[in-house]
Amino acid sequence: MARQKREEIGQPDDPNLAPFMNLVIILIPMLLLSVVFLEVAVINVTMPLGGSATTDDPDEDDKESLDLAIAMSPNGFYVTAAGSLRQPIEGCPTQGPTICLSDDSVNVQERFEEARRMMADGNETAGEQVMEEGLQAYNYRELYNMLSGFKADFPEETTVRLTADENMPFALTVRVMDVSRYRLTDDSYNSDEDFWKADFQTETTDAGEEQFANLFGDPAFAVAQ
Amino acid sequence: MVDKNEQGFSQEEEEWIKAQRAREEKRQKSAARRGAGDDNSVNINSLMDIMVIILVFLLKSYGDDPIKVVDEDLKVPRSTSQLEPVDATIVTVTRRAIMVDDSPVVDLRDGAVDPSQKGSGGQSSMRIMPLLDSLNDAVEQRRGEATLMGDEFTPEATIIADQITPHRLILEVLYTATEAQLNQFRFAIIRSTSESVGGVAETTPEI
Repeated sequence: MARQKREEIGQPDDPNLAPFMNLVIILIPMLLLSVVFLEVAVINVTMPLGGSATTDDPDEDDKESLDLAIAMSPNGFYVTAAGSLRQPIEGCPTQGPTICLSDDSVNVQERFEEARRMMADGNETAGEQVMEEGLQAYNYRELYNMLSGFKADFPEETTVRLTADENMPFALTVRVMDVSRYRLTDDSYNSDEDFWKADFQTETTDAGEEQFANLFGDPAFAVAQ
Repeated sequence: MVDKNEQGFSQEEEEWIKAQRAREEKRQKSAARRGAGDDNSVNINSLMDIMVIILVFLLKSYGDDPIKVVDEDLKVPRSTSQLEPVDATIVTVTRRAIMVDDSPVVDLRDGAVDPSQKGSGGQSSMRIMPLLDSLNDAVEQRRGEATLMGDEFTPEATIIADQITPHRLILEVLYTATEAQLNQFRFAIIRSTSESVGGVAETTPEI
């Protein structure tokens, strides 16, 4: 009897872990489903109070300002700088936008509408692919080349005003903001692949920190009054 | 004639040997049982360790994520921006509704707000009335919190918009937010590389 008691004291029973294990096994799949393994960042944008398109720049009268504006249309980009709409670049129709589509066989308006319909029907992946086809039709490389040229003449300017046709998707606006945000290693590119694979140019701040060189990294939205 | 005792064990010895063997067998059985029990508890402990580590990791990543950018009817675009999100009033524009801090405010149909929900001017108006009311409340609440904490109130908002959202709706949301005295905006995006954004990431270089 005494021996049996000693054995019981020497070998304590393991705690019953089964309920805890059940809880953990339920919690893990639940959390795995809810967790999104994506890195979220933000883009700073400004919009004047009341959404006015006019700016009250005190230096406006003293020196010429760039007042850069990009309008996104189904035919391409209309670029306005220093108060005048830029003429279409070489290879684009003379009556069309400043930078026409790189692939004019694509009807981007139709692509975006089709993508919207597909997504509304729950066909997310196909809709995204159709939208991407529309987005890829724009000539971002030429837009960068042009903005880079403006930067050489107006190195202090960082603001770009963005406008677009009513139905242009938000993804297009974000892509234009991406193209106009940082300077790349070269000021001009001849191939799309080189352009997208190019690294950002870095510069050293007054505090001695390295950061990406700003092109027109302060997008502003405005409502035409 | 050979003596029986010289050929083998006596009856008594045989019984003793049998008893010894039975004891030995019993000991082995109980040892085997004990051994198997030890193995089981070791396995459970390792499994428990793994489970607890995974659970803590998942709970941490669940708590860290300040904004939800992917849902049934929401997927924000990819971008190369590097800026970290900050705590601000959140306006979410999905394909079906506009929400302020996760509370649905106004429904959307074909990417547009019903004209009856807009200010004077109907269809052409930029002001979304339910959104304006909700943002006014949210701004008041934030301002109150900032006063209590002794901080200065920053009139900022984070806009989480689906990638296919029409530009017009984005402008209406921004315009309405400016009417609620907000003037610093951040668009939430999924961080990506230029190659991936430009669709050339999969291309392998020619050798």
